[in-house]
Amino acid sequence: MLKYALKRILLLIPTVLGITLFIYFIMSLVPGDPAAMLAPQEATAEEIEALRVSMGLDKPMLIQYLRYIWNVLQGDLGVSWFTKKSVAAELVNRLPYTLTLGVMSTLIASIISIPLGTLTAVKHNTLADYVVTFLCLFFSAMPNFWLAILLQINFSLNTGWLPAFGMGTPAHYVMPVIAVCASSIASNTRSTRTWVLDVIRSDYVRTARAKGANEVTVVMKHALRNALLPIITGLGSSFAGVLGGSVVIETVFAIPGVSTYLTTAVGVRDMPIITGCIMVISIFVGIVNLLIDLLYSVIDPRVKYE
Amino acid sequence: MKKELGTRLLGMLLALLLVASLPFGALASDVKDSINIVTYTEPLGVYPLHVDYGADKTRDGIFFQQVYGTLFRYDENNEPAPWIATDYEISEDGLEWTFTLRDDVYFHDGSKMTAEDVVFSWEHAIAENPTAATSMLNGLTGGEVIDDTHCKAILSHKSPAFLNMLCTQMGVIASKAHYEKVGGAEGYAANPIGTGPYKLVSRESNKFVFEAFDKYWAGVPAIKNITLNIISNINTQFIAVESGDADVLINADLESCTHIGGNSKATWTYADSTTRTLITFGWTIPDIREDLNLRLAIEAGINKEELVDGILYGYGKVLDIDVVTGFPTSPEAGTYSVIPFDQEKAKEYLAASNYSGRDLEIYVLSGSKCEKAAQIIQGQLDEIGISIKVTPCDAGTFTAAMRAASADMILYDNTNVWFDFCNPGASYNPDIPGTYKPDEYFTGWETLKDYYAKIAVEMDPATRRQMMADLMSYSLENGYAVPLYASVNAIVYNKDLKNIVASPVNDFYVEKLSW
Amino acid sequence: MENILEIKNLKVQYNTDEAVVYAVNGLSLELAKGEILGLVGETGAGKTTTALSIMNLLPDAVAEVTGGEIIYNGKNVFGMSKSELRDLRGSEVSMIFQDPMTSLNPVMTVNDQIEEVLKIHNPQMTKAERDKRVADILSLVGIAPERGKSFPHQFSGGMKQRVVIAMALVAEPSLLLADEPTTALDVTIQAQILTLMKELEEKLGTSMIFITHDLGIVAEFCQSVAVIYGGEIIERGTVEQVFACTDNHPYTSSLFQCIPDLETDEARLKPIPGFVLDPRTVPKGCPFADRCEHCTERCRTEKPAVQYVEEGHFIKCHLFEGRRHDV
Repeated sequence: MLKYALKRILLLIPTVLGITLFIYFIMSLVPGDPAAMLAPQEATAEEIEALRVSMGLDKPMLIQYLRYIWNVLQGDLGVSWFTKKSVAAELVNRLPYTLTLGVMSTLIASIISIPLGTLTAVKHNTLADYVVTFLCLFFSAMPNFWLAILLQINFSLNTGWLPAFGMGTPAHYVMPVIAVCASSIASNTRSTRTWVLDVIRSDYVRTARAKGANEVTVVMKHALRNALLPIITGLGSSFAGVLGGSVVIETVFAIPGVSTYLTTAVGVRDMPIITGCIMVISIFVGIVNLLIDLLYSVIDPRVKYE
Repeated sequence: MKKELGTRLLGMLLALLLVASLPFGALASDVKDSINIVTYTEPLGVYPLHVDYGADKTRDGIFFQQVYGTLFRYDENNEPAPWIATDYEISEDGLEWTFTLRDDVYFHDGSKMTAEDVVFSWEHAIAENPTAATSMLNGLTGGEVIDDTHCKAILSHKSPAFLNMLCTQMGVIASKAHYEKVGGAEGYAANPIGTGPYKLVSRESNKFVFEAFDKYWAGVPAIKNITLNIISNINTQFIAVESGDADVLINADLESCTHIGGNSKATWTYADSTTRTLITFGWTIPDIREDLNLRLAIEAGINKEELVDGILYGYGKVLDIDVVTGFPTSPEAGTYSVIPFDQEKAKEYLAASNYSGRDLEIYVLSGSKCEKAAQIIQGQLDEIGISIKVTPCDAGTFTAAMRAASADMILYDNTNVWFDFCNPGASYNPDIPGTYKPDEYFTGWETLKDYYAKIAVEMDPATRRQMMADLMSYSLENGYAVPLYASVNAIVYNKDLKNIVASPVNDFYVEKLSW
Repeated sequence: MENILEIKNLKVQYNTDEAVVYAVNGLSLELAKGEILGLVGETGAGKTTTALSIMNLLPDAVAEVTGGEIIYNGKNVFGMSKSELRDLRGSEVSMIFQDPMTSLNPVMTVNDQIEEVLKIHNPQMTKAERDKRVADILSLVGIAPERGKSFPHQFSGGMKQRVVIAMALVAEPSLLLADEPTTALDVTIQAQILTLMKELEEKLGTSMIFITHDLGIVAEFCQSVAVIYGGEIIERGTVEQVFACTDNHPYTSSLFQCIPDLETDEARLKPIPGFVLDPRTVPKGCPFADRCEHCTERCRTEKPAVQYVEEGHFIKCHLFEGRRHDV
C-alpha cells in the first residue's frame, strides 16, 4: 500500500502541471489586460506596453507558463503583480484559516450527518424521518451567505455573544463553520440515508438478523460499515469544495483565507496569485482524494492496491 | 438509540462552545484609548513616492494620513494650511518656492526630519512615480536644500495649485536615511516610517495595527492604539460597527447608512464628495465620435434629479458641469452654459442626428451604484427613442474598455481627492499624451488641452474660474462628456466617539479623535 | 414422535403500493423432531415466506401476518417478544438462504461472521473457546480452519455456501430451514453440499425443512415431502408415499409428468397448462382449479378439505373425498 501511495503522490505532479497549464490557457482567453489595470490611470499606451514587457506578458502564453514553472521548481512562487507581496508567504498565512474551516466543517458534518442519516434510514417513513428530511431540504435550499448573515445578526448584533468578523479565537470559528457545514450536513444526511437504506435491504443484513443480532449491531456493524464507502467519498468532496468554494463565507466573516485570495486575484487577473492558489488547492485536493482512497482499502477488504 | 445519543451529545458540545465564547464577545475596544477602524480593502499604498507602492487616496488614506506627514494640510475650510511647513515665499517669476520648516519634527525611528528629507522626497517622487508626480506635483522639477529648516522647490511653470498638491499623497515626507538603510523602495514599503502621529506596528492581510508615536511634534494623540480591520462585505461592515466590535467605518455605503436604526450604537455623518459620476463616450466608434447631435440628445434626455433621488436617496447633488463646487477653480453659476433636462429638445437633437436605432451599450462596473444609474438612464432614454443596453463588467474588462474607449459609453465614478482641478488626470492633462491616437479621440481634444494648459499656470483666481467656466461650456456644447451627479462620503461611527467629521476628499485623521 | 414445529392456518400478505399480494393462504404444516421435510413448489408459491415467518423475519414494512399461529416447541412465534425472538434466531432455529454470493457480509472475515453467532448466543464462552468452536465447525463443513481469516470474496460459490451452513450450525440449532441452498450452485457442488448436509443431520440430529423446486433432491435427501401451491399445502406424506405415484394430487401428478422419462422416446414435453396462480387474488375454491384436468364446478366454489388417503399422507382435493383413513 505504501508503494501505491507513493505512486499516487508522484502522479499528482503531472496532474498539477496540467491544471496550471489549463488555467494559463483559460486566463489568456479572458478579456482584460493586467498591465492596463496595474498601470496608473494616467499612464500612456507606451508606458503600459513597457509594463507588459517587464511583466513578461508580451511573450506567448506557453513561454510565460514555462518560465513560471521553472521558477516554481526553484521554490519561487512569485510575487503578486498588484500588492508586490510574496505569494508563498501570503499563502502560508492564509492556508491555516481555510484549512481549519474545511477540516472543522467536514468533521462536524460527518459527526452529525452520519448518525442522523442512519437514524432516518432505519426509521424511514416515520415522523422523525419527515421532520429531518424537511430540515435537510430547508438548509440545502438556504443560501449559505443568507444563513451567515442571519447568524451574524442574531449572535453578534443582537446578543453580542460572538464576534461578527475576523479570526483569532475559537469563538471566531463558530459561525463560519456553522454556515459552511449547514448545507453539507443537509446533503450528506440525505445521501447517508439513501446509502444505508440501500444496504439495509441486502441479503447479508437479513442474514445478520437471522443470526439473532440486535438491531443496533445490525445497523452499525453490518449495514453502516458497508454504506460507509460512498458516504466518505461525499465527505471528501465536501472538504475539497470548502478549499476553493468558501469565498462567500470568507467574505461575509472577513476571514483572510485562500478562497478570497484566489477570487480577488481572478477579478484583477493577478496571475501569480491565481496559479499559486490553484496549485496549492490542487495539491490538497489530490492528497485528500488519496487519503480517501487509502481509507477505502481499510474499510472494504475487497479493495486492494498493488 | 446510539444515533440519538450522538446527536444529543453534539448539541451539548455546541452549546458549551457558545457559552465558552461569551467572554470573547466583549472584544470591542472598551479601553478608552484604542480604536477599531473598518475599511473595505487592504491599503497597499504604503510608500506613495514609488510607483510600485503608489497610493490611492480612498483606499490608502487611512494608512498614509496616520503614518506620514506633509508640508501643508487642508483645514476646516478645505484650504491648504501650514503643517510641517510654517511659512513660504514665492519668487517673482513664480518658479521658485521657498519653504520654512518646523524644527521639532521626528521620524518614527527617532531621527530628526530636515530639509534634506523634504528635497529627497520630492526628487524621489519625480523619479520613481513620474505619472503620479506629473499629476499631483505638476511643474515640480527638483529641490534645493538651503539649511536644516529651509528648502526651495523648483518649478518649470507657474503653479497656482502647488500648495494644494503638497497636501496629497505625493507630498508625504520620507526619511532619506531610512531609505538608504533599508536598501530601497521594497525595504521602505516593508518597514514604512514617517513623521505622522502613528507608527505601523504590524501588518497582515486583514489587520493593521498602529501605535501612537511618543515624539510626535503636535503632541501625542488621545487615541493611542489603532486596529484597522479589512472587511470587504458591506453587511459585515455595518454589523461590526453596530454591534460594537468596531468603532468606525470609513467609505461607508450610503444606502446601508440610511438604514441605521435610531437606537443603534452607531450613527453616521457625511460630506459632499468630490467624486463625480459621469458618462464618457467611446471615441474610437465612428458613429459616436462624429455624431454630436446624438451625444447632445443623450445629455438632454437624462433626468439627473431622478438619479440623485433614486441612487443617492436625495443626498448628493446634480452636476451640470464636470466640476464640483468648492474647488478654487469651481466656476460660479451662470458663467457657463448648460444643457438642461428637456425631453422635447432631446427629441429634436435625436431627429437631427444620424442615430441608426441600434442598441448603444453602457459599460459599468458590475454591482456598483453606476449599474443602477445606467438602468435608470436606460429607461429615461427609451422615452425619447434611444435604445440602451447596460453591460456590467468585472474590473478587468471594464478597465480594458475604458483605456481603449471601445465601448459606446462608460458610466463611472471619477474621484478627485484633492482640491484643485487643474491637473485631474490624463483625460485633461496637457503634459500627458492620450492613451489612444489623436485621430481616434475627441475632435476638440487640442482645444481642451489648450484650456488646461492655461488654467494650470494662471495665478489669478477669478480668471482661473472664468477659464474653467469656458472650458466646461466648450466641453458641454461639444458633447465631450455627460456629468451626472456628485456623491457624498459617509462615515459610520460609534456614538461615543468625538470629533468625527466626514471629508469631501476622504481625509481622515485619527489624531483628531477622542472618546 | 413429538412435533417440534406446528404451523396452523398461516395467512401472510404483502401490502405493496400496486396491490396486495396474498402469499400464504391458510397453510398448515407439522414437523416432527429429527424429521427432514422437503417443501416443494413453483416460484411464488409461498415457500420462502413460510420459512421467514417461522423466525418472524418477514420485512415489517410490507409484510403482514393476517392469521394463524406458528408454534415452536410449544410457544407461538408471533407472541414472542423481541428478545425472545433474538434468542430463537440463530441458536434454536437457523436459516440458510438461497444465494450464497450475497448472504455474507463482504467486509467481515469468515471467522468473525461465524463467531458472531456464538458471541450473541453463548456470551459465557471465552475467546479461546469460540475460536476452537469456529475452527471445528469449519473443518466439519470441509473448509480448512486457516481460511477463516479470509474474506467472503476470496471464496468460491460452493465454499461460501459451506460457510453459510457452518454459520447456521455453529450454535447447534434444533431446526434448520434451508431455502434452496443448492439452486445457485452447479451440479457437482450441489452433490457435495447435499452429502455434507446429510452427514451433519445424521451427526447432530437437526430437524430440517428443505425448500426446493427440484423433485430429484427431495427424493434423494428428504424423508417426507409437502407440496405447496397457491399458499397452501396441497399434499403431504413420506417420500415413499408420495413418489409411489399411486395417489397424488393432480398438481403433484402433473409435476411428475413434467419430468422427462429417459427410457421412452417422447417427442414433446408435457407442461402444466395455464399460469401459476396470480397471488393478488385468493380463489374461493381450490387454487389449482383453473389448471386441473379433473376440475369440476364444485372445485371452483368450494375449498377442498384435507383428505387422508393413508396414514401420514394427505391430499387436499375433492377427488379423494371419502378415502379417509382413521388417523
